[in-house]
Amino acid sequence: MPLPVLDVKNLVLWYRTRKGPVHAVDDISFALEAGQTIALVGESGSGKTSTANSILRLLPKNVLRYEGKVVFDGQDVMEFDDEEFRKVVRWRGISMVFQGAMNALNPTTRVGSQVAEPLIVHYDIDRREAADQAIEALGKVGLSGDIARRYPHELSGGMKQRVVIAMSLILKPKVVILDEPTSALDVMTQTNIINLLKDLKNAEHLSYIFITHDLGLASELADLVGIVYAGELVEVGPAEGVFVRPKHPYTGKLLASVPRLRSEAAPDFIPGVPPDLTDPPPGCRFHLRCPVSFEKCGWSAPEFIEQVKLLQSSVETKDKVPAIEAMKAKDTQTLLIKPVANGTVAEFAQRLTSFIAQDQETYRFLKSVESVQPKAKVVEVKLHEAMPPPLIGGDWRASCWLLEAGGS
Amino acid sequence: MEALRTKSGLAAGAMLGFLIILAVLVPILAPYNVVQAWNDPGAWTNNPKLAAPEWSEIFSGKHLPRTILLPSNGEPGGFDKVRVSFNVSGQTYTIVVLRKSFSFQFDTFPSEIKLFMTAVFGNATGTQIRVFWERPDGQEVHLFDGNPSVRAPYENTYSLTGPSIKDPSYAVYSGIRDWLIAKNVTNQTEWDALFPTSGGIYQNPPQTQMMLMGKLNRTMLDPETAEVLKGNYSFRIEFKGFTPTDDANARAVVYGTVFGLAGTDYEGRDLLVALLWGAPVALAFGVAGALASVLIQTILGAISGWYGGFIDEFVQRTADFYLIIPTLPILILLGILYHLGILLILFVLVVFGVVGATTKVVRSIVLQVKEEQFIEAARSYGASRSRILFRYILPRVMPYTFALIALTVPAFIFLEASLSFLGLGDPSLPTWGHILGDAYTQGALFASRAYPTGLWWWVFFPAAGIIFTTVAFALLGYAFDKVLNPRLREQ
Amino acid sequence: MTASVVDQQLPTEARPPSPNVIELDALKKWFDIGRGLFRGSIPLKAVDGVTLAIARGETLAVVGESGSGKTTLGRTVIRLLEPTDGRLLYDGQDITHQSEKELMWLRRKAQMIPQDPYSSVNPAFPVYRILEEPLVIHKEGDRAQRGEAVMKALQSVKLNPPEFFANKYPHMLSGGQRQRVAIARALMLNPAFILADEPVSMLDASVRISILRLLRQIQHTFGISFLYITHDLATAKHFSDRIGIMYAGRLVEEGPVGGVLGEPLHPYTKALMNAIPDPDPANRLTVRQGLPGEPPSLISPPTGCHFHPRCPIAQAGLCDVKDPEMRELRPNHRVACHLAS
Repeated sequence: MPLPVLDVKNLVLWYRTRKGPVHAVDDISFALEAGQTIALVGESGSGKTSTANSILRLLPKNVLRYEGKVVFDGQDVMEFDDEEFRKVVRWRGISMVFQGAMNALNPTTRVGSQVAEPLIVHYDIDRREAADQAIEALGKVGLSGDIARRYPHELSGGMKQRVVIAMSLILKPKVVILDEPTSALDVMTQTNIINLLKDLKNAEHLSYIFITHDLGLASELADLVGIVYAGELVEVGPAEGVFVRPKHPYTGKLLASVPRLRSEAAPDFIPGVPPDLTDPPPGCRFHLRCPVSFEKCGWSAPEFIEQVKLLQSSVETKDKVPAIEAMKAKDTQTLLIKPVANGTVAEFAQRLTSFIAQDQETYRFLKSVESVQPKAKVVEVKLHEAMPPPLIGGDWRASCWLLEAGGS
Repeated sequence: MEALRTKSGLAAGAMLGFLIILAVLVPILAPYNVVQAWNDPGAWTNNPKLAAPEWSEIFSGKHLPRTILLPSNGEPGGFDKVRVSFNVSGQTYTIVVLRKSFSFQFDTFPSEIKLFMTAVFGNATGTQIRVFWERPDGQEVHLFDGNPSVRAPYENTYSLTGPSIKDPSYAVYSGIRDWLIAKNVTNQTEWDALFPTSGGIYQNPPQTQMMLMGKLNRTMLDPETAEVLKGNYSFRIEFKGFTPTDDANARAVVYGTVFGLAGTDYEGRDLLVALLWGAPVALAFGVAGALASVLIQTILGAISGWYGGFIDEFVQRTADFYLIIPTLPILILLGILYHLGILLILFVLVVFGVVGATTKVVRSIVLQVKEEQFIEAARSYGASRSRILFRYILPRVMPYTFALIALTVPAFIFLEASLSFLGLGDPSLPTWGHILGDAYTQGALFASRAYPTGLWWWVFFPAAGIIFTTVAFALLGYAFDKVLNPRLREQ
Repeated sequence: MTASVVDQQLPTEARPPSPNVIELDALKKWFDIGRGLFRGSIPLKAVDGVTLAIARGETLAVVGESGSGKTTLGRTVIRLLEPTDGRLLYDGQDITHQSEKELMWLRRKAQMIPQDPYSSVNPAFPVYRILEEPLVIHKEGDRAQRGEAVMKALQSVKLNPPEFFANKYPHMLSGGQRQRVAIARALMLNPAFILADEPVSMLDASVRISILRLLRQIQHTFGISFLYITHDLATAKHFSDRIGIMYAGRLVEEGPVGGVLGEPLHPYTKALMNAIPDPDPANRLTVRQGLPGEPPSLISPPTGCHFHPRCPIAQAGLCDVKDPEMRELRPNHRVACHLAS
C-alpha cells in the first residue's frame, strides 16, 4: 500500500467572531495517494474552502483553534514554522487555484510575468530562465507562447483560467487544490478546462483536491469523494461507492437534488438551511434536515419546540398537532408542555403519544421522544441523549448512527 | 439612527443637545433686542472695560474688585442728599450736599472710578461745586472744584482715575498732588520727576486709584508697590447755588477689574451676552445653510445620475465649474464692496453651494443603485421614472445626506466666523466671529503691563464656542460615517 | 388568487383571445456602440431575428451561454427595451413600438423576477411595502384589500406565517426567501406572463430546486405563462414544457423539452448536451467532447450561420455564406441548420 502523498488527520480550524467561535473545519481527516483526486463536495459555507486554506496555512487573523496533522510527503508540516512552510510546502509542494482567481489577475502586468512570479519569489533565478519556464507552463495548459506578452483583459475567461492553472503548476507541485475552478465559465469552456485538468493529472502525475458544490463536475475528476457538511466530513469513500450507493443520508439527498440531463427523475430538494457554524446543533449536525433521523441523532428540547411551532404555523399541518397552550425547555433533553384546558393532562398525554406514534415517520423529530410523563398541570417529555456519530467504516466511512448496526 | 448609539454619536448628541437647549432658551429668557443693545454704548456704561471674568481671580489668588454701583439719590442705596435753601440779606442760597459711603474689601485697586453729576441751576453764575474724597484712615482729599458755566441743566462725568487734558477733572491730579505734598508723602520736585508734564500734559499720568485708595505712604506712588487700604470710603459733593429751585444729584461707579462669567470687551460689553447669543446665531446659520445647500445638491445629483444624458452632462460640468470657484475670496470682495447683512451672507453662501462635491457623491450613489435589479423590476410593474427616483433611490441616499449635512454645518459656521473676523460680516450682530474680530483688532493677545496674560477671555470664549460647535457636528458626522462605512465599524 | 379589484384594462379593440400569450416575429434588438467622438457607431446585435411563441399556461425555457443574447431577449419581450426590428405581439396585440404610457396595461399583465437575490427586492422597504407597491402604482384596492392581497401572496410562495414575514426587511431573509418575495411581488397584479431571468442561478444548489418547483406550482395554479431564461440545461429539462436554444443572438433549435433533449438536431445543442456531466463515477475515465474556440462577439458575428466556425459538420460555401432558416423537422420541433435532418 503506497504511502499517501497527503494525509490529513483531525484538522481543526475555529476562528473568533463577535457572535462566537465559528467551527469552520471540525475534525476532518482524509488521505490522498499520488495521482489520486479527492473531491470535497458541499453546499456553500460548509467549510470546504476553509479546509483547503487550512491545509495551506492561509489563515484568517482571528484564529481560535488550528490543530491537527498534515502529513505531506512523509513529514508533518503542521510542525514547520511559517518560514519553512512557505519555502517548502506552499506552492512548491501544494499549490492552489483559488475561487474566482481568473478575475484576480493583476490587470497591469503581463500574463507571462505573473506566471513567472512564483519562480522569482521562491528561487534565485535569472529572469530569462523564469520567462522560458513560464512559456513552457503556458504551453502545458494549451496556450501558445505569445500569450505571455498579453494583459489579462485581452484574454477570454477560459484563457485566463488556463493562465491561473499554469501559475499553479510553475513550481511543479505534487498536489494542486482546485477551488471551484470553473464556476464563472460557460459550459463549453468548462468542458475544455476539465479536459485540460484530466490531461495534466496524467501528464504531470498530480494529485488534486477538487472543491466544488457540483456533483456532476466532481464526478469528472474524483477518485475519492468527501462530502462536507457544516464543517465536518460526513462521508468519504471511493467514487464508485459514494455516487452510486451513498452511506450518509445527506449524500443521498444531495445526489437526489441534482437535476439530471440523462434521466427523467425529478430532482428533490433538501428542506431547511445549513446550520449556523457558530452554534452547530448537538449530536449529528444534519439531523434537523435528515429524512431518516431517529432517536440517537441528537434532537434537543429547543429544537423539538421549534419543530412543533413550525407545524403549528403551517396551514397544512396545524390540525395534526394536539392543542398546546405553551411549551418550555426544562433542560437540553427535557421539555414541558402545557395543554389547552380541554380535558385532563393524562388525556392529553395519550393524544400526544398517539400523535408521536402515528406521525413519527413523517415528522422525524418525534422519534427522539423517549418518554411522555403527565405531571400535575403539564406533560414532561424526555428526549433521548444526543451524541455526535463517529465516522463508521474504513476506507469508505460515513458519520451516521444508522451505520452502527452494520446497516447502510 | 443607530448612529447615536456609537460613542462618538453619544458625545455628539450630548453636545448638540446642550447647544440646542441653549439656543432655544436664550431668546426666551433674555428677550431683549440684542442687536440694539450691543450697538448702544450707553447700555454698558456701568461695566468695567476689558475686565476678566470674575472666577479668574482663582489664578491670581487675590480677591479681585468687582464693580461697585452707587446710584443717584432717590434710588435704593443711592447718594444721601441734604438740601438747604435759605435767605441771607435778600440773597437766596441753596446748598446741596450729596454723600455716599461704600466699603472696599478687595485686594487690588479698581480699574476706574467715575462720578456722574447733574444739577439744575437757576442762575449758573458763581455757582460752585466741590468734590471731596473721604478715606478709611480719616484722610479727606479735596479733589477739585467745579465751576459750571453751562446754563442748565448741568451734567458732567468725571473720571477720578484717568482724566485727560480735555476733561475738566484734569484738576483731580492737582488736588491729589497737593494733598500728598501736604502729607509729606512726596514733594513738588519728586512729583514732577515721576510724572513729567510737557506743555501741561502728563506724559505718564499717575495711577490715581493707587493714591486715592492705597496705604498712605510712599508705596502709593508706584503701582507695583501700592497696597490697598481696605475700609469705608465716601464721596462728598457740595453744591452752592443762588436760586431756590437749585438742585443736584450724583451717582458714582467704582469699576472693578473683573466682571461676570465671561468678562467684558473694550466697550464694557458683557461677553457672556455675546457668547450665549452667538449659539443660536451659529446654529441657525450653520444648519440653515447646510440643509439648504446639501439638500439642493442631493436632489440635483440624484436627478443628474438618474436621468443621465444631457441633464447629467450639464449638471456635472456646472459642478466642476463651481468646485474651481474660490468662494471665500469672492465673499471677501463682496464684503469690501457692499454691506453684508447676515441673511445676505447666508444667501450668497447657499448660491455658491448649489452644486458641489455632494452633487457628485450623490450621483455616484444613484448610479450604483440604478443598476440594482429591483429598479428594473419596478419598471416592469409600471413604476414611473420619477417615482423610482424619489421613492426608491432617494431613501438610499438619505443616510449619506444626513452625514454630509452634519459635516457641512461647521463649514458654514466657520465661513461666517471668518468673514466676521475679517470685519466683513454683519457689523451689528454679536456673533462669535465678530467678537474674535474685535479682539484681534484691539490686540487682545498682546501682553501688557496691566494685562500680563493679555485679554485672554476675549479670545477664549468665542473661540471655545466655535470649537465646541464644530466638534459636536464633526462627531455627529463621524458617528454617521461609522454606521454607513462598514470598514470603520468596530470588529 | 385575490379577486381582481379593478377590471383588466382590455386592449382598445376587442379581439378573440389568441392561443399564444407572446409572439415574436423575426424580432431584432441591436444596440449602437459608439466608437468615439467622430467615428460613428456600430451595432451590437444582441437579438438577431428571433421567431417564437409562448402559449397560455406554458413554460418556455430559453437556454444559452453568456453572451448569447438571452438576457436581452427577455428584456425586449416585456418591453423594457424597444425592438429594433420585427414584431412583438402580446395576446395578439402589436406592442412593438408602443410608448410607455400606452403600455401601462402591459405592466400589469407581464411581470419579471430578477436574478440576484441581493438586489431583486428593495432593501429599504419591509416586505409588505415591497409587495404593496405594484398595487399602489396601479391604484388597486384600498388599504385593507391590499393588506389581504399581500398576505395571500406570501402564502402562495410558502412564506408562512405571512404576518411574520410581512414586517421583515430583506436583509433579515435568506437568499431563497428573498427570491420568494420577488416571486410574490410578480404575482400581485394577477399577471398572465412572467419573465424569470435566471431566477435561481445565484442561489445555493439545494434551494434552487424548491424555488423552481414553486414556480411550476404557481404556473399550474394560476395558469401563468413563463419565459425561463437560463444557462442550465438540466433545470430547463425538469422545469419547462418547451425549450429554445440560443446562440449568438439567434435561436438555433426550439421544440418540446422531451423532443429537443431526447433528439437534439442542431450540432450546438448536441455539443451542449455532451458538455454537461451527470454525477457518474465513470466520467473521470473518459474525455468529454468539447467545442473549440469561444462564443462569437455580437458586434461582428460570423457570416452566414453564426455557429459555423466551431461546428464539427460545417460545410464551406454553404454554412459560412447563407443564414440558415428555421425548419420544422419534427412535429413542433424546429431547427435552424442547413444540414440537420
